[in-house]
Amino acid sequence: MLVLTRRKGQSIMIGEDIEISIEEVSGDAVRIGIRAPREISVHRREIYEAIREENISATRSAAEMARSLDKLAPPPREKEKA
Amino acid sequence: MSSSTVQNEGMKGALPLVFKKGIAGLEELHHYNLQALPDNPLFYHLLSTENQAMGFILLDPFPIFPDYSVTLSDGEIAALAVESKDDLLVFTTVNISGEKGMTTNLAAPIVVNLRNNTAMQLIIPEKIRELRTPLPVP
Repeated sequence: MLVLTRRKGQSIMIGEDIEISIEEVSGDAVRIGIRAPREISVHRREIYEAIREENISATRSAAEMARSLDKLAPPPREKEKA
Repeated sequence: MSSSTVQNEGMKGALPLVFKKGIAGLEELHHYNLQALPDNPLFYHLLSTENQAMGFILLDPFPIFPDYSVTLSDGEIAALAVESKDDLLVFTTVNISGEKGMTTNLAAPIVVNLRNNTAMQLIIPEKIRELRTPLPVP
């Protein structure tokens, strides 16, 4: 990981069109400004991680639900044969 | 742009969908089929065509949460190439793994553009506490 020291009011560029600026420093909190093209989504990492974990959990329960739906559903193959 | 009045009605058969950016946690999968669950007007099955083991049960949230609304940012409108709000469908993922019974994720709805069969999952940070919203037991 690249680590840079910046002061309040300074910024860094990522590529040509993403700018991260230091707006305010107060104790261990830093206010950060982000300028990026609109197609780039910017989220706090913990929000993204929560959504990610929920998605993975939801795929597991979807697999379970799909199995129980299969059990509940009338056997379609026999219908096709008839 | 608000799609709060979108109603998900009249889908028949499997609808092929492309998630260009994938779905968080399943970033490598881009192609899915969306199908209504038989005998249930509210639930849908979103199944990966690249990995048949991966899928979601989706909910049409509006009949259960009539106040729920989704607003697309300019970036999201561009990503889905939205021309009309009437082309959009909104779904939320369903989970049964937690202590709350069956829940749905109102913080990250899946928006489908029927005009070009593209879809994406939005992230709504203000709704993160609605990540596991219990579904009323019928």
